[in-house]
Amino acid sequence: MEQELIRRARTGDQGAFESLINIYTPSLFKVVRRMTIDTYEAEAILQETFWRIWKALPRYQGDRHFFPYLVTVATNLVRDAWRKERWLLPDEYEALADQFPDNLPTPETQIEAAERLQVLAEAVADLPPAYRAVIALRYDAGLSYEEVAAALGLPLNTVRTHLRRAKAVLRQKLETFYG
Amino acid sequence: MDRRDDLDRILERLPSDAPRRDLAADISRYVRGKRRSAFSRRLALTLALAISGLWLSSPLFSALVASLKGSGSSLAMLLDWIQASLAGLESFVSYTWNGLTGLQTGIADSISASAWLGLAALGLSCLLALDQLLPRGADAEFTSNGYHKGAEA
Repeated sequence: MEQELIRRARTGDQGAFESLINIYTPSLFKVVRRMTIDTYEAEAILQETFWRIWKALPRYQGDRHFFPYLVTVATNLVRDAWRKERWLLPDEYEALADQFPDNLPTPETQIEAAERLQVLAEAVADLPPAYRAVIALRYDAGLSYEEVAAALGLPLNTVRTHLRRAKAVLRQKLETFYG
Repeated sequence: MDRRDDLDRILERLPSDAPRRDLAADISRYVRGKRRSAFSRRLALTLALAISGLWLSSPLFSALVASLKGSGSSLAMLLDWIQASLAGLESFVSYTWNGLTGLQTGIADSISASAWLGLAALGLSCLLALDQLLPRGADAEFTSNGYHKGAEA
């Protein structure tokens, strides 16, 4: 069904493309919103993402799945926005992350309630952009490590390191929050 | 390989803002608007190139039309060509080569730079018009999965 919509959109069928917009907007918004400061920025990036996809569709290679392709275009736009700010990781975060390896006792098992999930969501929002992006692409978009690396233009090992450090920072924040 | 831990599972369920209900409709409107403005810009560029190209190359076309009307030269050239063909392959090749070289020199001498510029503008406007008229992805090939192969991303 989606492949047929993509095929029709590639030949200029605006209706088919609008169906694709309807299908993918909720999941793409979730990913982009995690990476952006606010809802308005996320919406602007979604608009521009779909416009760029429309222009690029005639050259779209089907050897990539469509959602990771959308996510990659959106991530590039988010990174463009971040370049005006600061994409690189603050040193203090790197140092903090390295103090909390994966095998520390964690409070994860206690975290079940929505309130606690909210705490974690806020902790993710406080992460530096590069860590936030990895979290969003890995968990919200459900991309593989390879797809995350391709979307961010980073080596695979860097993605793994970012993710490990981001999780260490989150564990530390949760531990602090729950005493 | 990476093992999923409790934090992985929690991160997969992380709450986030839901999109506005009419966000998809707004995006569709945005894309339609951008398409219209892009089409208008290309149309304006095509027309501007066609008009300026015609204006710049109009002296050339006038001269060409006048010479065709005045001399029946195409018939004479055709007869010459047939005669040359019958005279033998060698002389034919030589004649054709000389003729083409002479034609090329004649064109280059007789057409001014502005006329060349006009012809280039006309050609470009034709390409732009063709690009707009042809359906998107007309060169696409699809596999049985409906996916495109071969083109650059």
